Order: sequence, then C-alpha cells, then structure tokens
Amino acid sequence: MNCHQVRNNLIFYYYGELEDYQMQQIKEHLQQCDLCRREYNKLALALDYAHKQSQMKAPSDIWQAISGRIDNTQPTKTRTVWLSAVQLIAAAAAIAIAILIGSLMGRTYVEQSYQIVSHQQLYEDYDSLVEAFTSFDQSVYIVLDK
Amino acid sequence: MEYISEEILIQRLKARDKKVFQHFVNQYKDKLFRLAMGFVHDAFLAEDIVQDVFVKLWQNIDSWQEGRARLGTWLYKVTVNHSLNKVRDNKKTAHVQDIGQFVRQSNDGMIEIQIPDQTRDPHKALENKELAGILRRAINSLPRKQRIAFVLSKYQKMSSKEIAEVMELSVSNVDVIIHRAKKNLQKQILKLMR
Repeated sequence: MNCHQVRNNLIFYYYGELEDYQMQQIKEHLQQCDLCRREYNKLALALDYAHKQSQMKAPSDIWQAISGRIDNTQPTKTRTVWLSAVQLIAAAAAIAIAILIGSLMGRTYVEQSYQIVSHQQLYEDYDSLVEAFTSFDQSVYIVLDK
Repeated sequence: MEYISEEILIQRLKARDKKVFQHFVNQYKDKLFRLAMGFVHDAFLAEDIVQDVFVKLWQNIDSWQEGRARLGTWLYKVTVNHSLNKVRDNKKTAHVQDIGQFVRQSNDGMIEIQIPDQTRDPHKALENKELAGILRRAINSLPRKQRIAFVLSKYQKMSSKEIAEVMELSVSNVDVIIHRAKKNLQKQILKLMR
C-alpha cells in the first residue's frame, strides 16, 4: 500500500474495520513511514478522546435535579371535549366567522390553538375538516391545548 | 424492582408513579448522557439536555399514544434533536460559552463554579479541552444525517439496525452514511490538528 491508500483508510484502520490483510499492510506501512504514522497518531488522539467521552456517565445526582424540576412543574394538561355533530358544526362555524372577521379587519387573533383529531386521523387543514363534517359515522373530537 | 412491560410502564408513568419514573431515569440516564456528549462535548450541557428530555417526558406522558415508537427510541430521537438545537443555539452564544461552561446554578439557587475536567494535571486538562473542541468542530461540520449516525454508532454503540430505527432509514442506507461520516470526520480532524 502506498501513502495515499493508507491515509484514505486511517479511520477504518483505527476502528479495525478492514480485512485482515489490509490491517496488516497498513500496520507495516505505519511502522516504516513517519509522515503517515504522525497523521495516524493525531487522528488516534482525537478518536481516543471521543471513545473516552463515550464511556462517561451522567452525574450521580441527576435524579435529584430531575425530581426537583418535575415537582416544580405541572404536567401539560390536554382537555378532551367530545362534541356532537351539531356542536362540531357550530364550533367550526364560529371559528370560520372569527377568521373572516379577523381577516376583514386586517388582523388575526390567535387566542387558543386547536387540534382537530379523529379516531385514527389528525385533521390538519380545512379540507380534512370539511371531510369530517360529512363522515358522521366517525366520532370527531377536539383537543384543546391549554 | 420487578420487570414491567412498556405498556405497564407507560400506565404507571401516566399515573404519576415517581418511583417507577426514577427507575426508568436510572435505566436511561447514562445512555442519553453519552448520546448528548457526542453532539455537545460538554458535560454540563449534556446533563442539562438529559434533564430536559426526562422532564419533557414526565410533562407530556399523558398524550403518549399506544402504537407510537417505543419509548426508548422516542427518548433517543428527542435527545438527538434537543442536542442539535443546543449546538445551534451555542453557536450564537459562542463568545460567552468559555466562561459559561464553568458556571452553573445549583438546585438551591446558588451559583457554583466548577472545573469541568476532573484531571488535576493542567496540561492534560488543556489538552482535553482542545481535543473536545476539535471533536466538537469536526463532528458538527458533518452533514446532519452523518453526524447523527456517527454519534449513535460510536457514542451510543448502536447497531446499524438500531440506528435505522431511530433515523427511520434502511440499514444499508445507514451503513453508507456511517462510512461517509468516518471519511469526512478523518478529513476534518486532521485539518483541525495541523
């Protein structure tokens, strides 16, 4: 192997990921070639440090820190409200009117984010919402994010 | 602690069983810490990331839906994303990072100044700091997929199959990405160490 071939494979040699004969050829080359050996030693120094980092453990008191934080924070609550088809239409109409008024006034108010969800499917856009109106066999509910 | 299935585990977490949560944290904390280290190369920052991920899980466990990815896979994904965000944010505040990494606020609100490297040899500490900086720059210079695949492979010791699950890619694709990542990483490390 020449220097070019050896240098192309230094990292694979470091990780021992070459065929046995290639490992042997590079080993022999590194014993003879100062320049390639210097390059390999630099690479190995950084990769040894990466290996050292990959052996590190989380601080032993991390549970105390997490426990303290979860005691001071409330879980994110989602309130699920089941709506009948009539209520759903009324809610959608109210949203549509609010958007219309907002756009007419040139301003858009976003007071609460809504996610419209069905049993299996998340309706993210208006077309899907319209589709939901026409599928009365599916129970549709709205999750109100706090 | 008896063995419990993931389904039961999630039920207990939803019921706010803190003892089960503690056991779960102990099971994953080192894995997530090493994963975060692979991206941020800073023990304090990695600890913050791990804390954030577990707190996020605790806060949002109610909305966990059955049939989603396994909880472990979800934790790895969230840790990867959170770590990448921290790296991005830290680039913006790089000028204060050198001081900031030695200072932290303890749980009781006290400010602590700590030496991050545990070695007592100042030359070794400096060398380690330089090496950490070189690794951080070299790994962060990789394209996103290569970066994630390399860190999962070498810091998390994951198999290609496990990486494929986390990254939602095929195993053969993961192998190609890791191969390219190593080639690029060698190039970057040697360039930075000239």
